[in-house]
Amino acid sequence: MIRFILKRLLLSIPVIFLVATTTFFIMRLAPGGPFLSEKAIPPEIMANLQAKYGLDQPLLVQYGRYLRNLIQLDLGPSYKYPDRTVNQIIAEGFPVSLQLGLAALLFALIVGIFAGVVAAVKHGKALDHLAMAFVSIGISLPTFVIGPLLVFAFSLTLYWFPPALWGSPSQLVLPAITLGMPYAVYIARLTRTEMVEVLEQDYIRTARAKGVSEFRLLWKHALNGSMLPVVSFLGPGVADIVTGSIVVEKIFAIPGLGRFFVESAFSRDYTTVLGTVLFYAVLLILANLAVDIFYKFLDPRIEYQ
Amino acid sequence: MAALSQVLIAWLAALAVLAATGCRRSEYFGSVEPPEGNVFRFNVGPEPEFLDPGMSTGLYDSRIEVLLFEGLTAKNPATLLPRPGMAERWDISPDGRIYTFHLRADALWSDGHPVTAQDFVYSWTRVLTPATGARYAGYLYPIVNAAEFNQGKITDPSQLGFRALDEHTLEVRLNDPVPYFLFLAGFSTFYPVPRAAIERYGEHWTDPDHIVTNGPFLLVEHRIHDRIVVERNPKYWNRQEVRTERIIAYTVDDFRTATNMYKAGMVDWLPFPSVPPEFLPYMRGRYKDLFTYPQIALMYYGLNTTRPPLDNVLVRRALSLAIDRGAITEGLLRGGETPTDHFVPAGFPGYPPPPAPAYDPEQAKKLLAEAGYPHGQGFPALEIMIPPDRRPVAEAAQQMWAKNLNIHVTIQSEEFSSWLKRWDRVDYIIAATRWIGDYLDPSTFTDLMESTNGNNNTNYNSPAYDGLQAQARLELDPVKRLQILQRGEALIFQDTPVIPLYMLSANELVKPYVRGIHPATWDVLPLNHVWIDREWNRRQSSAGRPE
Repeated sequence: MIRFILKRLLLSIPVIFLVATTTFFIMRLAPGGPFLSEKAIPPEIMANLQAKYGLDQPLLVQYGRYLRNLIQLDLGPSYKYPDRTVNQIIAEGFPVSLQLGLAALLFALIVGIFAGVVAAVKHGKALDHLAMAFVSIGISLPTFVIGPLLVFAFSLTLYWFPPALWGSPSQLVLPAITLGMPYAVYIARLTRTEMVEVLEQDYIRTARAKGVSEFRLLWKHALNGSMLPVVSFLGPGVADIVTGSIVVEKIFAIPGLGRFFVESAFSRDYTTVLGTVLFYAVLLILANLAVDIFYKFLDPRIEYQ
Repeated sequence: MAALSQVLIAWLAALAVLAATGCRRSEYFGSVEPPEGNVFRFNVGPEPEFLDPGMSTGLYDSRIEVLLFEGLTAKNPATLLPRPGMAERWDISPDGRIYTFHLRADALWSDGHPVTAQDFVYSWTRVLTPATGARYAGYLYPIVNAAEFNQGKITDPSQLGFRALDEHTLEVRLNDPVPYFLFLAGFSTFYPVPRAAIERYGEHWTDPDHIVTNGPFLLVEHRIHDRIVVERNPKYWNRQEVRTERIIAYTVDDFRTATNMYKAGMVDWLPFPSVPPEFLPYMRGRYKDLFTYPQIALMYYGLNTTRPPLDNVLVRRALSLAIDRGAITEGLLRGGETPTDHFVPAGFPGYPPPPAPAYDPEQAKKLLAEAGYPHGQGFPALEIMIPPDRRPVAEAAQQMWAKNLNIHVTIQSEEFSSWLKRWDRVDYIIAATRWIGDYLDPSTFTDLMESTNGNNNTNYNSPAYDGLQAQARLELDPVKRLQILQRGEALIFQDTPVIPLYMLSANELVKPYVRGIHPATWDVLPLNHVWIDREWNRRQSSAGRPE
């Protein structure tokens, strides 16, 4: 097991290197630069700026310097917000995105599994159809539709929750639901499909014959058996939900990391683009590794070479 | 996907506005409950890039800097004309070239040290030092040797045209008698900055823990993409004037979200450009807390005057005459924009606008025929290069040119950075652009068309125009000077390197209980006068923004 983890971590180093290199050069291919603005900057001042950040050096020299700093985990200053380093931006923004992501995930798991189990048990009945209708709606409505609808209903009409900003638990509710909804419905569908199958299995019939209570049968025996696809979805899902909050962060004005990810690309804030891309790459690699390890516990038959 | 999502959000939000107005008729948009405590809340717009005034890059930065710092002059919150700031008075030499500022004795930094003439010498030298990379260093170029020093042609800072005569006296020598220098002296780039903090903390001196300021408010909290919180500065010389204890400036860059916050009563003021234009047709006339002011800001099309067929002045004039500006603002935009044929927007005190050619499709046809393209025959395909979100106006222009001149024009939308790059290189044929004036003098516009101006970007190079500009620069009589600028603008009509379209308007929402925010042609306001009137409902007659 330890060997497996070490090997995976070692293998991820060239992946990260490749991501760093590709992002570096693709970013430089994009027209414009971090200091262009609507009011023209005299060429002399532009030259001063370029020199200040070493952008006047040959590209390969810049690349070398960038890699050297990267090894020391120094992502450099943001070009757009020069009083912040990219490390600071990540340190401030990521915990917010993480909290939002975890809250959304919690919502998705509770609602998704519950809806999935109910639908499976009432297979073919009205409740099943209702749950699956909810799934269809949830899957077809993107976050940028759900978000404003929730705001309209619960913030601007009922005044239950604030429409934006971050800090209090009440400000977490609407963005977490918005972000978690697509995942909730996906989990509901996975759970239902798997559960319907599991409920037909021999061991369930045996357990039932032995007099295990219906509640215990459902929520322990059957559910355990149906969770494998959900867990395998959770790996990329967790990374996705934590990194995929860009739209939700914008709609609800949440100071998370997601928005830097997009905005820095538009403003050609090279260091921030590189920093966030790498950070997310590492996050994805770790999340996938965690899932593989988790599999092992869930299903001991899985072997790692 | 981003564009699609924005369109959808816009529609849903607009729907929300409509639905809300349908079910509860109110004179005001949303909550009219004043905030608890002596606090004022507004939305800055996107996150400021710098709180360091020397490095300032524009509107959003300046909105915060004006709360934290003060220059030699400050803006009168009501009139926006310069009034004494750190300098309590000044003398101007008869030739208008030497300004002597006398600093007030009670001007203090927030750490208790006095603000001295040496502080200004340090701060301005810092802005002009090439290694600082200050983007707006050009604002200091009217000062003797400032441009030369900033461009590395001289390296001795003692040659710069400003010096401290003593601790409280600053002498500034200008290249030309710049009539708006007192405005400039109140601009962010001219603010003093604290030497000790900068030398100690480098780029991070603007952190709330490190920053030292001299303005009406102190920075207490700064969370990126969230909020900037300031509190009244007890050491500010004019503290009696400041009525608000605490200001929370949110940095919400999604304006529909900001409008939701206003409706829910989370902010008291939404300054330009936080009210999304698509809401305006619904809001106008319906809510008393929506205010519209024309700005000294122009939307226009730049024409590449060296690329055929636009190298022919007749073609350029035909294109300009064939556009019905009124139809664009009234029929299409409906956001309170003012159609204009002028390059210098209305609103500059004392400036007499020259007569401008108006919409005249017949004359336009004639000019195009004269240029060798009767009924548009043989006219090459042109392209309008636009940044995102400017498509509707471009489509209107496209149709007007097709209808009036029978010519075909395509629209090329570019992502903003790419658009900037092409605009900057004059790598276009027609480009949609805009200019927002920096100070209340027409030269903030007329300077643009000078051949040497970095924002000209049309390859317009007229010795006659440059001559008039140079002449205006030397003219001491303010009336005559404005007349020279007027002749310059008339020359722009004749040569048509640009097609002015309309003046932007600031649309703002101000809660009825807010006092002390004055109508302004320009939107960096000192908030010294702002206060919350809890009795507003009882004096309905005085409700609303103007005071």
